[in-house]
Amino acid sequence: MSLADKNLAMTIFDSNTFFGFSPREKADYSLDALGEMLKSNGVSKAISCSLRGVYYDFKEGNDESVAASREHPWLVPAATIDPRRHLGCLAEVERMRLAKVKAFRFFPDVQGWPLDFLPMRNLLQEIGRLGGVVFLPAGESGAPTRILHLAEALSVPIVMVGANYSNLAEAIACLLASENLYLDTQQLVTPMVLEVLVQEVGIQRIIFGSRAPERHLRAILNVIANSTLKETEKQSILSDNLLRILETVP
Amino acid sequence: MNGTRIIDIHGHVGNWPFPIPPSSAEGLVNILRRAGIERLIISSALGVVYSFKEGNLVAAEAVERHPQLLAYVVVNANYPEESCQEMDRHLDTDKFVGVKIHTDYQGRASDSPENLRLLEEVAKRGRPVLLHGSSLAESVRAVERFPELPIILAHGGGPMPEAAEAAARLPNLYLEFAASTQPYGRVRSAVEIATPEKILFGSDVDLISPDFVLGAYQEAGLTEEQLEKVCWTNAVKLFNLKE
Repeated sequence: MSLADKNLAMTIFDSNTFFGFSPREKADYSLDALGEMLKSNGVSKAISCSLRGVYYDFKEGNDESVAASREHPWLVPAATIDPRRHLGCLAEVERMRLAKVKAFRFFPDVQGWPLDFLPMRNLLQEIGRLGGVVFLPAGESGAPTRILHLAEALSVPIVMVGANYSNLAEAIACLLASENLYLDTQQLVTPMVLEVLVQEVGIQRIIFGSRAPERHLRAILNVIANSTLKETEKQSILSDNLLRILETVP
Repeated sequence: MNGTRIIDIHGHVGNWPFPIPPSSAEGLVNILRRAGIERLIISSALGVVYSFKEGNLVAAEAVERHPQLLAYVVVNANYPEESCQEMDRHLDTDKFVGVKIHTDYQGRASDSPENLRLLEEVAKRGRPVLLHGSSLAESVRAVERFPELPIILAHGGGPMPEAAEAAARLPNLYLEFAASTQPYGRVRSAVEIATPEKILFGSDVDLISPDFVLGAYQEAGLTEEQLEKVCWTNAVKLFNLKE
């Protein structure tokens, strides 16, 4: 397994991590556990979101994420907003932007609301007005197309998270239809999938994301390390592309 | 994990309706070489999703040309007589080492009368089964019916820790963890609960990259001895392979 053990001597910036308490199964998702997992895999920076904000109260969770970023230099906070609450949702975009938060992550799959309903559209418009990078789940068939429609008439960069081989054709079609869309690596696990994506949509549209600490960081890093991409292309996926779209946010 | 010899017990040759470059036996061998995997036991994608008889011929051709590849005979519970003929045709060679059953594509639950009848025929022939089962409870009921027949539940068999507990309880039940999502710690828990003797390495290549699945085994915190059993020795014993 010498090749599978290959280390990536590159800067790695994970766009998709979280921390907090795990209510659905017994697991250690603490900041310390996440930090250790990132460090042991050579990841120097990670966008991370508090699970308190996902499962309970987004304002409290967002405060926790911002506070964690002050304590841990490797952590870049992602805000989350649950549009089911309505009250204070749009104001939370502004509050987070004033706190210099650039990443906004949404969890319709966990919270049980339709990706393309009007409250989400309203939130996206507000993020478009104030600036931000949006992360939306795209693992279900039809989700990339709904995200494409949401992105219409907005200039917000949207990262489609968790598209997999079963809906990758749809994700590719959507990437080709909108320059504002990106794809994370979390479930890009088929052989040669990165090579196919580079050929079809270009290297700049692929963003490294792992969903640590719930998923194995090493597994998705292996796919990138053992791909036939050039080293510069691997570096684009592992950090440069994410840094570039974050820099577009004032 | 450097130096660990690896047998991947779950692979396919053939095409899928997804953006994956067309598969060939040569392509599979290249993937194995890059991942450091010595041997792979395949079934034909054509055989799994459509015509098992045609698919077994594709697999036969692949294993004939590539010594790294071994094969499962794909059988179909909807065609018991023809499935027996397929087993008798292919299992007398040393290239076909087990039997593959995919309940989803055949529309028969693991413990359906049709599938139990088929497993009874497999048990007579004494070769291990790689079972892509229906629910864990249904698969466990099938495994319990044939205590002499080794059955490997693909993709971990179902929820944890229940699947590992079943593997710990039933001497003929084994697990492999090919999956496009790898919950952290799943392989480690399975080894702890079921013992390393009951866990094997399978990737589902070329639907899933073995590099990806290996990552979960690498991060499982297993000792060298445990890894050797999981990645190599268990498969050698179960499939009666030559080292």
